[in-house]
Amino acid sequence: MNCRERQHDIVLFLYDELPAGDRNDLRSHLDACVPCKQFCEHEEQLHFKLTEDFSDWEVPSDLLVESRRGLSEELDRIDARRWWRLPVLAPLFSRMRLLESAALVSIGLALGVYVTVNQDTVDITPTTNQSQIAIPQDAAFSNLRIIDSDPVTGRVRLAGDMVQPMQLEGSLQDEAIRRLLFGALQVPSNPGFRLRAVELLAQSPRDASIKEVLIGALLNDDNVGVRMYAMEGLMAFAEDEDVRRALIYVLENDQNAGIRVQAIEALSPLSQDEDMGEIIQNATRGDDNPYIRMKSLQFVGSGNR
Amino acid sequence: MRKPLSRRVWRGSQVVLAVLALQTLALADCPITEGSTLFVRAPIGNLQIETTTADMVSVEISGSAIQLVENCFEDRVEIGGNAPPQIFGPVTWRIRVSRDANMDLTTFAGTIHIASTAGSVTARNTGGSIISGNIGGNAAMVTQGGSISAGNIGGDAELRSMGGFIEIGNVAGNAEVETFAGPITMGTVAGFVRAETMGGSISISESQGELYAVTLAGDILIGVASRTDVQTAGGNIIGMRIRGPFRGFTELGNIRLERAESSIEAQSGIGDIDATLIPQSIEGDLHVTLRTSSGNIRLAIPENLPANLETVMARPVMQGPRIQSDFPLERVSSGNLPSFVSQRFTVAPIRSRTVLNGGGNSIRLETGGRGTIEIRRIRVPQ
Repeated sequence: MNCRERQHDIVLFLYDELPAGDRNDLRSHLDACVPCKQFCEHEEQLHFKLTEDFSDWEVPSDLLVESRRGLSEELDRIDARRWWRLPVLAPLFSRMRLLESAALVSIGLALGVYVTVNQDTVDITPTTNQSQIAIPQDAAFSNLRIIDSDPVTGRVRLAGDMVQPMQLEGSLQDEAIRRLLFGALQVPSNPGFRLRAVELLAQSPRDASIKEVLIGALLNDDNVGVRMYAMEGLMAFAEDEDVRRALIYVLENDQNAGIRVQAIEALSPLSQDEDMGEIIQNATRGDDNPYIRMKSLQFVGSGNR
Repeated sequence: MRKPLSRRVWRGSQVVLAVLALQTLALADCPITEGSTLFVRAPIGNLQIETTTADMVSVEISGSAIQLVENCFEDRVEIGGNAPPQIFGPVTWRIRVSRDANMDLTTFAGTIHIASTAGSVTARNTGGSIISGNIGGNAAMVTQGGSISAGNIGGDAELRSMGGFIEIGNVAGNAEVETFAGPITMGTVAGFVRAETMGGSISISESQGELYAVTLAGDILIGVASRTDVQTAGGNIIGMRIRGPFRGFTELGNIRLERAESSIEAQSGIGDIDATLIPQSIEGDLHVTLRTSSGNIRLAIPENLPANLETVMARPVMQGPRIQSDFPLERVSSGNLPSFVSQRFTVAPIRSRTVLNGGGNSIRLETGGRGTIEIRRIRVPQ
């Protein structure tokens, strides 16, 4: 293999396209061949430059104009030497032949459209242009994998997770805002967000769905702060059947004395309800906190008066 | 040498009032002098402490049958009682005491309200809130379930709750504040601050001593602080002016330091870090380490800061590295790769570095896959 072929391999190597078996050969050659090593270093520098963020570069306008003109001339020069203009191929590309070919292609296209329209399934594989449009510039990717590839057509199907920054503004009545906040309460790894979400939702506890979410947070959230915020949102609505049952459950089961104290405070307005006396007594019978036991006694006393 | 018991008793008198009061008031009076201590041990009921200029202690109990015991000594007054097995309705102890006296208050079941006083206060209950006005001396308040709200404290403050918010005004001494659930808010603290909550934000206007704050959920907001060490498991950390070394960590959230005057070590799991280093002097330790797994980093430093600056950025998919710097940076290759291998198509992070003003302080900025790094120069007046 001569140096010209080696230098071709260097380009492939830098794009990670060189087969593993050829890499060691190339490295050995680079150690021995000074011109190829210089070529490799030159290519490395080129790639280094290409990886730089040049979005902020200010390119002089005359350089741009000159570059475009040079590119245009080069394209014209290439166009003048197109392969189908070679003498040996000229008969194949006469005007008549081209006309015949165009007619055949048109018939084929029409047939293809007819078949496609009458198909039950639609191929949703995006075109090259579509896939480029679908990738936002500020997105981050993870779990990227190759689902399928076709060496003949060169088409590749990729899959993965894409995360993109977003901002959303709206009221608590907006469905999208609600869904995100409700969803936030299901994220176990982010107690800070859950806390803020509950704090926000607690401003509208009369709403049936928000009430349900707050009760869920009060009963289930691991973080005692989140439960406390949910409790504060629900405290004023102890007369609601669902809220009352949740408060009684908390009074009986929550491990944190502060939450249980809040629960019995929230239930205090219901002390006139004679049925509640026995329920509260049962819920607090085994409580080791004297304050809660005292409150439950007063609860019964108030109810009996 | 301790005086005999008989001499310690004020004027040799001991007043024991046993009052059975059902839905009536129980009354007792006792003299108390400046610097003496009022001890209250209530078996049950809410405590309402009012302060007066008179050197007397008076007690009223309302609401239920309590057997009141009051002992008057030269250096202290003890108030207690025995509760019957069954109590119906609320019980309230209304106590008037000289504002110059110290207080040691305990109720085994009930809330505590304390008016402003010049002395020191210790207050405990097994549940329910503790509320006080300004306290001239030290304050120690503990509740096993409920909020604590206090005004300004003239000495040290130690406030603990098993669940409930804690708010406190200015503290002339040190402040140790802890709650199992709920936010913590405090004003200016002359000494050190130690604040911990299992869930809730922490807000501190000023800490003139060292600051240590931890929350398992919620933001940490700091007005002015000296040496600072703060952590949150989920929430933002915001410091307006940090005079001493800063260490901050958040699992999920942003860190923003409007003005840091000493070294900075900030780390976020997911979130942005924004810091401005404006030291009083470029002498001393001014190292900066900002690290986020996913987020942007922005750092502003004085143009005359001697430093060895290094940025490390995980290689993003589909994007080129995004670094904006007022200081020219030199790209360096990963140490474990052969020199002829291009960095472009490797997984090695993109590293850049430079030496500023002859080098010195270590500045290391590190971000994960999606982040950007921005380094700005702060012009220094000549």
